[in-house]
Amino acid sequence: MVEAQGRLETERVIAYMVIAGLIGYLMDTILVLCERALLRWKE
Amino acid sequence: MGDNKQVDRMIHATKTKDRQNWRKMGGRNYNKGAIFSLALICVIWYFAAHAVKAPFIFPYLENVAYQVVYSLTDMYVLENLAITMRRVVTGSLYAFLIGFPLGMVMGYSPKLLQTMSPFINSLRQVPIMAWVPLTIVWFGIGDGPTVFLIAFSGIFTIILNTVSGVQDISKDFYNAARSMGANTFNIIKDIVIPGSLPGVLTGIRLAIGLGWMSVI
Repeated sequence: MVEAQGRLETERVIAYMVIAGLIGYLMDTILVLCERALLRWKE
Repeated sequence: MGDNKQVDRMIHATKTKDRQNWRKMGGRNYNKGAIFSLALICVIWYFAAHAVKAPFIFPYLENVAYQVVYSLTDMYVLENLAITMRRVVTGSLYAFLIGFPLGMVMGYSPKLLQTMSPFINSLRQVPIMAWVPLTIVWFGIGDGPTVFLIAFSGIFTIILNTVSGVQDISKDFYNAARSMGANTFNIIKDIVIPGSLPGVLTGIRLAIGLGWMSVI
């Protein structure tokens, strides 16, 4: 991302932002699933 | 329509199925709403970018989509992503290993909470970038400073959420366990840890998110 910023490639910067968002969302989803499994007793 | 206003409202709600619709928005079928929103954003982006015609400031959607697909198939990008993820996982693990026991004892013992909270609450206000020069001096160039900064950005979230998770446990549980002859170890194992789990898990979620944000 820093490389793309330095080269002023806006498209690549936004593409990396989208990828970062997607990976972050996936990690959060995995944690939400873990949370559901661990907190089944609470429902 | 009935004379009673409440009955009228209930009839109206049943007719329009608004309760079911609201439930669907945040419940089982929420993906439909998310996909529709994403499609709407893409359509607006596509037309707005073509109207502005300044790809340097506002790139075209198709070019960004091409870059996303290209990056996800480029080994150089994937390798760097894997390195970044490894750092986030390591940093978050350190944050959990330090923050969870600290939060537990702080939540369980009011005296410890009183003693430690001034340090925790002042340390967490220090801007994360102010630690950068110091971490380079301490850990050198490499993974060390990054992992430290990820751990540092997540540790306070885990501590605060664990403390609040432990404090949210009803006193009735402690009293019930004590009246049944439970000792401190049993209380911690069977009440404090499971009871504080919702707070702890929220803390971990926030910590990993913060780590991911700060590493990029």
